[in-house]
Amino acid sequence: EEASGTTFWVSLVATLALSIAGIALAWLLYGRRSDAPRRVRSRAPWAVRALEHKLYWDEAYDTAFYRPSSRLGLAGRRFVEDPLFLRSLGVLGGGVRGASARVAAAQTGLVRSYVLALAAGVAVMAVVFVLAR
Amino acid sequence: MHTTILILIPLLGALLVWIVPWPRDWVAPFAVLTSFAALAFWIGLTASNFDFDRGGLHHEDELTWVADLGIAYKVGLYDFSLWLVGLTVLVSAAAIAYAFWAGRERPRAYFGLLLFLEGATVGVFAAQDLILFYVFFEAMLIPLYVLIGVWGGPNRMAATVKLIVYTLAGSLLMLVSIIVLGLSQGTFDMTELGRSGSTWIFLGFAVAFAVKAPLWPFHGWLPDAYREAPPEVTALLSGVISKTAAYGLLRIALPTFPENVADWRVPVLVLASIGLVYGSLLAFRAPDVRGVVAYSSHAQMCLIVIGLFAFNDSGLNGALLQMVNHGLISAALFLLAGTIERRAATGELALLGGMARGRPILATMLIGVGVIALAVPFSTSFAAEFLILNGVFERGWGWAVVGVVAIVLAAMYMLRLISAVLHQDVGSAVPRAALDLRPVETTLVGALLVGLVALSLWPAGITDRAFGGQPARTVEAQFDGP
Repeated sequence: EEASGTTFWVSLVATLALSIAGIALAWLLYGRRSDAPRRVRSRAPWAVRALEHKLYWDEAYDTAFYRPSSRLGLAGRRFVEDPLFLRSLGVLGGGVRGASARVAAAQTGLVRSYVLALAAGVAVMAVVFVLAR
Repeated sequence: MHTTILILIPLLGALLVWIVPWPRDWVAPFAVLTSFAALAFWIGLTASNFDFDRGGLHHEDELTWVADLGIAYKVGLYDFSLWLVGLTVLVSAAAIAYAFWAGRERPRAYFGLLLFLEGATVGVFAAQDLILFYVFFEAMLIPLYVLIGVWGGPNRMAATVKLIVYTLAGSLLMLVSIIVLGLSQGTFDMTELGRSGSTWIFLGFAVAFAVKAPLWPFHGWLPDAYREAPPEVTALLSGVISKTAAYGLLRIALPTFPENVADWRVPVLVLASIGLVYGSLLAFRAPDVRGVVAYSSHAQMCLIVIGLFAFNDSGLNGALLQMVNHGLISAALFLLAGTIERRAATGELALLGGMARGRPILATMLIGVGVIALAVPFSTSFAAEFLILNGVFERGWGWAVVGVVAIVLAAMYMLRLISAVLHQDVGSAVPRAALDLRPVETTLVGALLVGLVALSLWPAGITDRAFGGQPARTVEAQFDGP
């Protein structure tokens, strides 16, 4: 729903008026040599500080967005990305190498070992068939 | 024959580079000329020979291979795949020219492999037969294995093995899916495939493309591969090859398995959303230039998948536009990373800084590309991301909220990158004598930046010339023309 003509003009005039008032105030305080800035600073130091810190918007953004994102990013890299994703294949490869080494050790080269393995396999299959029936 | 010519130009170029006994100094210029010939051919094809008003397949070439199984050499271009082929030839030309400028050992092998990679990638976007698609999809791996494994950085072998193992595992699942799908439908012709409701076949394709993209949590190969490969190879990997995965989802998975797409939409959107935020957070705190761009690339690919699985006009248009955008952006950023590494001998952000002083061209290029990358309003990235978020909003407002958060994070990591490299105190690794971008470097990165600016001025140049103006209906109709 678009703003009505009255709302539009009131907003425009108010914004212009505030802007011009701000420029005028700045000129009164700083545009000509006067003691006004020192007096304002002594009477309302908190206001001056807030204005110099741009109403603490930077600090608010820092607290709300920057620091949590930074911590999350660093934590993500340290606790998730590095151990889980970047090293995962290395762990898998190491596991395969270890399993291969054990299987290789089982290769005795003796015929009786292979006959025993075959017999054990046949026995297991026989048990499975009997149970399945 | 146009499509076949487009595939053959780089492949024949590779063959000539390998076979003909060129003088060593002639190899790289010939490779550059070949890549520019492919680019010129694509420009001519697009400007004069492509009827965007007529939907369906254009410039179709077909040759029967195995009639009994319905396997054929069949290639052709749709309006949307034309843009992806254009992205491929443009980025390839920039990458090969950059390699020529940088100088590489064993140029005959190196440039032949780059041209072969270009030809295989164009083949993926053009293939209209599932077996042919698979052949080209796998053919991309061969040059990548050698390019990274031989010419890569100190940890190149680990990076290469990871890339190959991840990709092959996914591809083997896709091969099984292709065989089962093709045999069950009696054809491998992608233009004649009917719909399928098989979850396992769908997952075979989806996992393969999820690994290639990569989608979280299949991205384990990405950081090492992007860091260890030569910068121009990384530009190709991130800018173009990752798009073959998104293309596969768009061309095969979405139209062939609509029920499965609907069933798996939520899990895929969850994974993509996690990847989008996760990749953005890691990019924000990555310690090096390539790390920032690599994780950013991962996040952007997840965003593209979100757009695809929104599966409506807005999402699909946004996904296609962002594919092209991201291709140009990441290629430009990785080439810039290469120029920075040539000057500072490192990409570690802690050792860089202040490079804008006395290097206005580098600063302009990095800020120009970076600002477009963070989707500043009126940029082409903004248009694409808006379309994607608008599309996924129709599936649920929560997805759009995640996307918006990621856009904020994108601004944070990109501005951090710009500031860490260009501003603040001069880094300890930045020599005072380090030069600004040379004319060749400026031209190559500038060409990609000009493309981005042109798209920013006219994103409808792509979205109005894709899917016949009706993306969702075109995909649902399995890309059948009128």
